[in-house]
Amino acid sequence: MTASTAPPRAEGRGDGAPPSRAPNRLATSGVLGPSVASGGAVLLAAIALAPVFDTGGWFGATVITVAAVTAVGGVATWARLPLFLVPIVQAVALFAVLVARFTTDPPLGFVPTSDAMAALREVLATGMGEVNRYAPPVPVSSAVTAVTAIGLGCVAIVVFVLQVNLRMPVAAGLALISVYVVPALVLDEGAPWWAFAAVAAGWMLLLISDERVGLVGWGRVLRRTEGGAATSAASGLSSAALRLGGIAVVTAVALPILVPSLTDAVLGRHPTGFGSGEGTGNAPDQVGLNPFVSLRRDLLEQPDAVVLRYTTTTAAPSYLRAVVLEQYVGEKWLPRALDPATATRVTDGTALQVAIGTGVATTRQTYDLTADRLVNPYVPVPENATAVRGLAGQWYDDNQTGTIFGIDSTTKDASWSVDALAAAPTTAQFQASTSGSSPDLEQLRVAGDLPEVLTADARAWTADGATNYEKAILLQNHFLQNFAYSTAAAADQSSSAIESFLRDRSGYCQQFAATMALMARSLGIPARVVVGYTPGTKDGNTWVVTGKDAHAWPELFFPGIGWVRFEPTPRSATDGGGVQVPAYAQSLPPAATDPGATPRPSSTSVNGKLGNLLDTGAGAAVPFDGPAAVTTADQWRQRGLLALLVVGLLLAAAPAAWRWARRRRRLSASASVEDAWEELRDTALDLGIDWSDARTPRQAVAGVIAGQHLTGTVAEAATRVGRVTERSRYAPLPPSAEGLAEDVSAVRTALLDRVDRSARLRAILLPASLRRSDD
Amino acid sequence: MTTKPTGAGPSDPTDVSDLVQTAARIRASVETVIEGKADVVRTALTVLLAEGHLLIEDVPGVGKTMLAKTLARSLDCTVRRIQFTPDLLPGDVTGVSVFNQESRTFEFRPGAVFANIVLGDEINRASPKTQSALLEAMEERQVTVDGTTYELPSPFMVMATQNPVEMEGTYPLPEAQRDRFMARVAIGYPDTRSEMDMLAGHAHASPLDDVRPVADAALVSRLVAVVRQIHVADSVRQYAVDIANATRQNADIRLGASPRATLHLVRAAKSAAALDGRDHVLPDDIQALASSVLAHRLILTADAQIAGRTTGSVVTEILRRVPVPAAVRV
Repeated sequence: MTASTAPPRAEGRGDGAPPSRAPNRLATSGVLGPSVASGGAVLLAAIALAPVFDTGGWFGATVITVAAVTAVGGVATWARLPLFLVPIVQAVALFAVLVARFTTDPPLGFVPTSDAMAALREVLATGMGEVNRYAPPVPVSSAVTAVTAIGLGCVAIVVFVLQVNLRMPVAAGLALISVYVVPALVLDEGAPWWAFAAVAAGWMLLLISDERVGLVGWGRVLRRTEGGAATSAASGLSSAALRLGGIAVVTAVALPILVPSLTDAVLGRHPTGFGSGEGTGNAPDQVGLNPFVSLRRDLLEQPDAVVLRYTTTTAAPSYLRAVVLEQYVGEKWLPRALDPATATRVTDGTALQVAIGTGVATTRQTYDLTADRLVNPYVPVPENATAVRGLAGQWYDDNQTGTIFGIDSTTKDASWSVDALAAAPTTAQFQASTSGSSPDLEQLRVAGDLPEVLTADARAWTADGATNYEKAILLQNHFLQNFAYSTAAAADQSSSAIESFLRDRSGYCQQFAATMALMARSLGIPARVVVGYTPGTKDGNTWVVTGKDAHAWPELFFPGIGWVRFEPTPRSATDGGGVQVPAYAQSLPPAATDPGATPRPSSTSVNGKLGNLLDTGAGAAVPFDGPAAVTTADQWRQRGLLALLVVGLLLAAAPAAWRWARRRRRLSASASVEDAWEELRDTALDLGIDWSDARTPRQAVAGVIAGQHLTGTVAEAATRVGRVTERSRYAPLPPSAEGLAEDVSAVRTALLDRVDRSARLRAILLPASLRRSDD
Repeated sequence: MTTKPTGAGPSDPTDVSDLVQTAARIRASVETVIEGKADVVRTALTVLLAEGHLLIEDVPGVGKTMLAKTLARSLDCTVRRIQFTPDLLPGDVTGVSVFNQESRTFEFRPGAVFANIVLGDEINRASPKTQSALLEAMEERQVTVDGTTYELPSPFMVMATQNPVEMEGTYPLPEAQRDRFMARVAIGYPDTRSEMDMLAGHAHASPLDDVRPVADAALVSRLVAVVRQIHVADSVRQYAVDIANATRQNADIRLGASPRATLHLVRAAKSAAALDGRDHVLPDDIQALASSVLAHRLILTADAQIAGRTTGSVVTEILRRVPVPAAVRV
């Protein structure tokens, strides 16, 4: 699958052979090599997709598709079809392969009839649905394989046309990069390094192949080896292509690291993805996701983006709940499986269940909410919502958690109003609530062992508490008083993230909420974590919720009262300031402060630990517009474009930079006469000035002077360069190279002045001299 | 022979300038007779200083013999002329041993070849046997008769004229013998002005009578020594070899340039460089002389001949293709 399997066959032809035999072979080799290279490059790039899928089952179909598209393109090019027909023929071949492979019982075998296309469309729609639903690694199904195959088939067409027909390997490389963008954006941890290596290798393959074609097309340059045998210069060319490509790749990798303001698009180490989530949900109705990731993203990356706005009848609005995380499995929090079968369909008239203990005072409130950048399968609603109106689409209320979730519906551009009850349990009611909760509550279950330090701390902090209520407040207050808010996580690698959090005493809402919930559970209090938003800030009559209002908090269960919010997260400027400790949780004597515990804000940068606190293990991600997500699709599209733009710019600037570095070296003080001469030659080549290696320096300079109408001092300078070069090469005593660099510069300036702007730009951005192999 | 420059050695620039002046005098002298043919005269001088032999090929009457005679007369040295005819014998060229009745010994009578400059007029009219007698002397610079070897004088240069082979009564030179000539020149018809001047000049007397020697054999020998010391960079040698190789691999050529051709090419280039006042050879010199030095040695394929190509055009084509080396690659 490398170009070496298809060396241009014309190389075998001796120079003495009559030229009349050549054209046919040349034509074949001019197609075969680049075709194989383009197909091989796409397949190499396809390797980069491997981490997105759970098995390699998709690769076979991709190989067949890419091979078919490339082969058909090759034949079409060989048969000299008009250029515009080549991709069309390839597209037909692509659909034929897909129809034959993926539709059941296609009417006419592989012929893409309209029926077959309809069937294929269905398969693709299914595949797209699965891709959108599942977190990576996406389970490989036939439909997903079809989606992958068509995607890579399209890339193969683009690469083929750019590489073989248009001879633009650099642009073809951009098409390859588009493949790389998928794992780089989808995977939470970014694409693995070898994915980039695979794409880079594919690009190198294109460059090498193109160099070979260029060489064969212009005839063969003989050069001698040590043994005196004449060999083709093609191998030397390849190394030139490799050098150039290598520098471009290294630049692309290194620049984002060196320039801090650039996102590290290539290595993909930015700490986000499409929301890391849980890939267990294989049933279509289960939505696997990890809301914490989007929570963090909102907090850190889009603090000022407006998520939603609302008006309300109350002066002190409730927190807005989106998702409830109940299961703590394998050191991470998961939402419960949301199943429409057991949920209540939300329509305008439906009364939603709320579990508030009898005797708890409630106030009726109304909210009118409008999504701004919120695109989300969960509807943020106030606590204890009793009715939700105005939602279009299929929405369900999970009775256990009060989560309103959509099936094939999101909150994009949605407006809804909510009736809710604000509960105000009294201290007496809390104190009266005993720990009589049933032990098999999901909210008590902790899979795996909790860190020793967590359970020990929980016991120590609540030693003074007599009731669950007191213990809960002691926990909360201990966090509030001894911990600091920081969106940076400790870089400690020695133990689990929870331990780091407890030791460093700094973190942000997710860690506070999750840790307090776990501590409560270790004390026997049912607890869960809610992800949503604080009430936001009031702007006139409207409340505005922005990304920095994204929040997570614990809810604890008290028999006779219900689920009650606590607030262990300290206030901070960066957290929107909307954090409010509920009235019922403020009334206990403060917990004994730990004398050794001073809040220690962490100054280390965000790293993987941050997300790992509750999300260790295989972080998987669906293209998930998280519970608190602010239209992430747009955001990722922008980032993808930005990444493409950066890579494209780097690639585009690489030749100019390479040429510039060369010129600097050649015109430096230590440069030789030959260096200056090569600079003059390359300047001429860059500008498309006729230049032949069969000319002597004297003739070459005379040709440039006559061809470009150089006069006066510039002509003298050019002549001087020629004469000095001549003497340097052929005279017994080498001449002085003094002033040579200035002469070359003067000639270069004059030559640049004599061409029009487009030629000048081409000379600077796409220096033709870089295609030369011999230096 | 990588010549290390030595301060006062023969490659001293003053020596070259001496050569340039002398060459200019000779040329001026020759051009008083052969008008409007500066390049031909220059090539002839180049060959003389490069210790080569010159083949002048053209139709009768354009001044072949006149060129040779004038050049010979401009140099104060021995000149012999051999008119080649079909009945000319080898001994006429090289000399014979005759029995001296008085001394009762064989005495060697030198033939026409014993001179500094030998004009071989219409060399292709002689039989191949006689031709070879001269050509052997050219190469060896000595004559062996009856077991005794006689050195030829120095400088020694044969200027042979030849009619194009299509002319009647000619024996074309075999390729092996053509190879012995360093260069071939064609004189060509004079332009109108030159021809009119010639008519005016030849009206009263032969202009040859007015030619006076401007240099002697010893001076020419010194100049030849200077030419020998001209520096040739390895890359220039490489260029010459590349060109020769290209003729050997060219699809239009049946017989390519011999190693002797390469040798002649570089020697001629050295001479040309010296005439230009340079102490080193440039690829330009090689290019300028490649056609003169190589063309007469090459044999085209039948196809190329039918296609109307000439060896000269093929050499020009090769020069357009072979890269000029900046440094030695081997």
